[in-house]
Amino acid sequence: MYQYDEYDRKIVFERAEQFAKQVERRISGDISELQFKPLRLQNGLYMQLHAYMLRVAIPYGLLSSKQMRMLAHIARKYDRGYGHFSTRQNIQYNWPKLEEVPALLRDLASVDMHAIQTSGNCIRNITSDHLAGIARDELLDPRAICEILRQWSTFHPEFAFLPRKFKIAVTGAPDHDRAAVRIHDIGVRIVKNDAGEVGVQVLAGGGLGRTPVIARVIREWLPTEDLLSYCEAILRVYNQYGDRKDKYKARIKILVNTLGVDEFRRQVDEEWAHIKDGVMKLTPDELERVSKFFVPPAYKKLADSDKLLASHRLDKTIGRWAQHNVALHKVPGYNAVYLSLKTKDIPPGDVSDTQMEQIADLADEFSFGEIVATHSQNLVLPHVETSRLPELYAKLVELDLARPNVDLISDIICCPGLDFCDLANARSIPQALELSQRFEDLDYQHDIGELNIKMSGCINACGHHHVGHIGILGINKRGEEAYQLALGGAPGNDAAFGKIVGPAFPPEKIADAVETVVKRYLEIRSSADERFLDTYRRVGMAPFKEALYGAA
Amino acid sequence: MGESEELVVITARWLADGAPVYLTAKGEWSRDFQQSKVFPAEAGEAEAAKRGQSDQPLVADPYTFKIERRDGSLDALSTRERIRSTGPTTPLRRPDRAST
Repeated sequence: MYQYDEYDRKIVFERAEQFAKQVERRISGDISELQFKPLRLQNGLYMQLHAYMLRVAIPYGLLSSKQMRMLAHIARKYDRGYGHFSTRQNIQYNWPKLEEVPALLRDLASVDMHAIQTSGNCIRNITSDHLAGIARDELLDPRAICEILRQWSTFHPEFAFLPRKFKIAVTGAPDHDRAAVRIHDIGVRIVKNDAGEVGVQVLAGGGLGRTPVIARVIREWLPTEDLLSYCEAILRVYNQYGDRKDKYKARIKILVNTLGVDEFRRQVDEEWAHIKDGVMKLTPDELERVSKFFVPPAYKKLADSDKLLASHRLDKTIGRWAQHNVALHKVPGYNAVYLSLKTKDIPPGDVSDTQMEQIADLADEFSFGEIVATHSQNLVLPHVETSRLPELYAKLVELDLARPNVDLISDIICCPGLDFCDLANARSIPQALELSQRFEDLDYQHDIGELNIKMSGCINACGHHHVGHIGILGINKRGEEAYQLALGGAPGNDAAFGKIVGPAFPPEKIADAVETVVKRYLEIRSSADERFLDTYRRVGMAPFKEALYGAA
Repeated sequence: MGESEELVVITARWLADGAPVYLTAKGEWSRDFQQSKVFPAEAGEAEAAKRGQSDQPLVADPYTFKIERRDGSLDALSTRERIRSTGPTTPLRRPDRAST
C-alpha cells in the first residue's frame, strides 16, 4: 500500500497542529462558531445531533493492521469504544470531545492517516473496488490511479471551495462495477479501446440525493497519462459554472443536466485543450513509481484452489459462509474473505475497539496485514489461503464477524439516520435492526437469495436507497417519521434507480411492508435461481404494489 | 401567555462536546430538557438570537423549537427534538466514558 514520504507526514502533522490552534481560539472565544465551522469541516469534524462526529479518510478503503489498531485506540481513548464504517469506505467516530480532537488527529497522523477533505465542498475521499488488486475480473489494479487522484486532489488550491462536495470512484473491473462509479460525480473505469490498449473511460454527473442521476460517459476512452488533466478540466468547468446559490442545484449532475451532456463535454474538451500537454501529464515513470506501492504481497506458490473452495462451500459447518462471504482471488490458492458487520443487534457498520484489534491480528495472521473497507459497510481480508478458511472461520465466529449474509437481505446498507445525523428526517438504524431480526433465519435468507436493502434517513441518500433492490427512504410526514419503499434499484454496471411503490409507511409497518414484498417475490419468481432484481425487471411493479396496497 | 400561544424552548450545542443543552429559568444551560424555560415563540426567538452572541464561547447555534406542556412535563413536538433530548434510540457498543 502507499507509504507516506517525509512531505506527506509533514503536511498531515502540520495540519493537526494548525487545527489545534484553531480549536484553542474557538474554546477561548477568539473566534465564533460561524468562523470556526468551515475550519472544523475542513478537518472532517461535524456537529451532529448529540455530539461532534469526526470522519476519518480511508483512501480507497485500504487499511494496514497497524492503522486498524490505531483506529481501535482512537475509539477507546477518544470515543465510546466503537467506530462506524460508512458508505464511502471511511470510518466515523460519533462522540469525540472538541478539545481532544487535535490529539486524536496527531494519533491518526502517526499512522499516516487524517480527516482532511472528508467534509466540505471539496474533492472527498477517492473510493474504489474493495477487491482492487485481487479480483479475477479486473483489467488492471485501480489503486495506483486512485492514489494519483488522491494526491492531485488533496489541498488542490483551485478546488478547495467548489460549488458542492465532489466524489470520485474508480474501478478496474469493467464488467463488474463494485465501486458504484455511475453514482459518483466522476466515475473512472479502466477499459480497453478498440485497439486493445488499456486506458480509462470517464463518466461524470452521477449522484444520488434529491435528484438522482446516473453518470454519463464524457470520454469513451482516454490514455491513462491524460487522466489528471482531463479530471482537472471537468473540475474547472464545474467550478466555474456550477450553481453556488442553491445547494440543491449545486452538484455537477445538475450542471451536466442543464448544459446537456454534449455541451458539457464540449466545454470540458475546450478547457482540456489548454492543459492536456502540461505538467499534469502522467509519465510512465510516475505511473510506475506509484504502482510500485501496490505490488502484490509475498504470496506462496500454491496450487489452484477452486476445487478446494468448492468443497468448503459444501461443508456442513462453513458451507454457507464460504459461499457468501468468500470471494475468488486471482492468485492460485488464495481467496478474499468478507467480515460481515451486519448483525441483528448492532448498527450496520459499527465495530468495537476490541473487534478492531482482533481484526488487525487476523489481518496479520491470515492476510499480509491488509484490510479493506467496503462501501457496503463490511470489511475484507483480501489475501487468505483457501486451505486456512476453516481456521479463519472459527476465529471470526468467536468475534461475531462470520454471519454468512453478504449480499443477502440482512446485509443492509444504512446511514446513521435521525439517531445521530443532524440532517436526517427519520431513523434508519432501528428499522435496519428490525429487518435483520425479521429475516434472521439463515435458511430463509438463503432461500430468498441475493437481495440488497439500502436505507437512508433523508433525501441526501447516504444509505444509497436509490440503488437498493429494495430502497427505503425515511421522510418527515407532518412531524412524524414515515418510510417510502422503492423497488428495482441497482448500483453496478446495470445501474438503475428504484421506483417508489406507493404511499409511505409508518415506522411500525415498514418491516411488514418489506416482508410482504419478499413473500410476493417468492411466490412469483420463475425459479429459485431468479434473483429479486430479475423478477422485478421481468414482472414490474404491479404485483408488489397489489400485495402492499391491494388491487386498484 | 394564552393557552393557544405557540410555546418554545431554547436549545444549543455545548461547545466542549456538541451535546444538546437547554436554557433554564436561571439563564444557565442545562443538559436536561425538562429544566428548559418556556417562552412564547417571538420572545424565544429574540432570546435565542441574543444568546447566540453573548454565550458563544460556551455554546453554538442557539435556536428554538416548539413544545407542549403535558402532565407537568415538557414534550417536544418534533421527533427530531425528542430524540435529541433523550439520546440515540439504538444500542451503543458501550456506555459513555464519562459515565463509567
